[in-house]
Amino acid sequence: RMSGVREKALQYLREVPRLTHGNIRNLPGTRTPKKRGYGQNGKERGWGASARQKLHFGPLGYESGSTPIQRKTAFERSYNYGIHSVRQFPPLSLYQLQLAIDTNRLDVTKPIDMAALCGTGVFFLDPSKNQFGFNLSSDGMDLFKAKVHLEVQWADEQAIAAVERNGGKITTSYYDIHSVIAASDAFKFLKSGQPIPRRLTPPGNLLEYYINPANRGYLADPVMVEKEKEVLAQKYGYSISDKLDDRLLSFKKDPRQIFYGLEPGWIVSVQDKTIYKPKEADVKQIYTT
Amino acid sequence: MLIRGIRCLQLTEQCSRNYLTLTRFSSAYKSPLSLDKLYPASSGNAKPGTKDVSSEFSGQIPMNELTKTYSCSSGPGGQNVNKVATKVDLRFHVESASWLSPGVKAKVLEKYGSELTKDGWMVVKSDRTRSQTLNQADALEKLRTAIRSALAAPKPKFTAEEEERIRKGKLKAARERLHYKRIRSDVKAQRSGRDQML
Repeated sequence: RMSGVREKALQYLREVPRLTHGNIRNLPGTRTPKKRGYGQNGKERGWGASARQKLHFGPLGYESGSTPIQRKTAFERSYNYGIHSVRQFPPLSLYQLQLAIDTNRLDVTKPIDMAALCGTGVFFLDPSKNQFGFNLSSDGMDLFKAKVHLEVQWADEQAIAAVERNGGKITTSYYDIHSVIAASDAFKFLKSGQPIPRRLTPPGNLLEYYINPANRGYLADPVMVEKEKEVLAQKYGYSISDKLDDRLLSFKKDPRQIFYGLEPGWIVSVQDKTIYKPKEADVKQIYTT
Repeated sequence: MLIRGIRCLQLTEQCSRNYLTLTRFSSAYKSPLSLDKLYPASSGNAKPGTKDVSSEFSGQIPMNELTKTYSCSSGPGGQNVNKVATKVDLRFHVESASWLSPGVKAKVLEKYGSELTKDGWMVVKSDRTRSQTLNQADALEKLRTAIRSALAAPKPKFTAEEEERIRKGKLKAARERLHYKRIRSDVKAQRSGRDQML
């Protein structure tokens, strides 16, 4: 059997109309560039007697022929190394959230999740930039007054305390990139006619975060979450007396759901105001595992 | 920009309108990852915290029993420090505090009795950070540390090994002192010239 290169070359010969200088090349290694026997290619490599009479220092870091230290030791990577693969959680401050609620961009009588936040038209997520959701930051925690049923993708301790102090509920939930694409522009996604995907479980390095009740992870034990609530209340000095009304608490999202009230696998036609649900058992199976 | 703003508003209205109708469907969708399948034992009722034993303090403080006052902090900061009430003042009357068990209360009074106000109130203040929330947490931490330090057993100045070394050292010092004292007294005796053989 002929080697791949030979085969390719012969195939090329069969296909090409005629052989000219433009479509012939030497075999690699048969032609070496001509080097002069003097100057940089000479015995002294450009450091001979006549060269030494002149002022030339060589490249920066040159150590008279021995491997310079900057080549011996490991290279530093560029500061933005891996920027295209790192997961981003752009911040959403409590101040911004309070402002959006006060200016009626967000409805507090309904649960606030990624779809609701992006639906305001004020908060943006760009999945092409590896943005996996909102990071609720504690900026403005002293003046946060709203009582919300909130679902974000990352939250720091003081932000959680601020929400719970006012009697609200906060959960951190993982959205994989296709779920982010669906939820970040719900209108556009539903218009596209794709079936609603099921949300994937968090990858290895994030699983610990979403199982931890201290982070109010959506995969954490609810009893442990209640205990952590008490701990946080004792730490920041408030009592948990106020609670969300039952109607708001009745909105529950399964770990595989992206939108409240919509199951994975359904196709929603906004124009016709109908929902198409899968009938076949094997298709249903995919969306319910 | 204005046109874009209007268009955004229209989109959001449409979006929120559509979202409104959709959320009214409440499905009972339960995947294998739903919480009642992941944690079947958790009924959702957390066990209440245990009460403090008479001589111990668990760290739990009922927040409605503390009198909290907020005021403006001191120091530089311009308009922000003049306007924002970030300083936290926590007070409670020690004698009538029902959340401190009698053993704990006695020790707290013993250690901090002279630091209470004239009427017997314990005061803890904090203006450490720029945030009222964090200052309140800091004040509570100070309060808990104070109560715990009152309950802590007094630490001996030296350990048993150190005590033994000190005792032996004192005996050795005495022995050496007497040794050199005897040598000196011999020297002085020899200088006197008494009872010398001629």
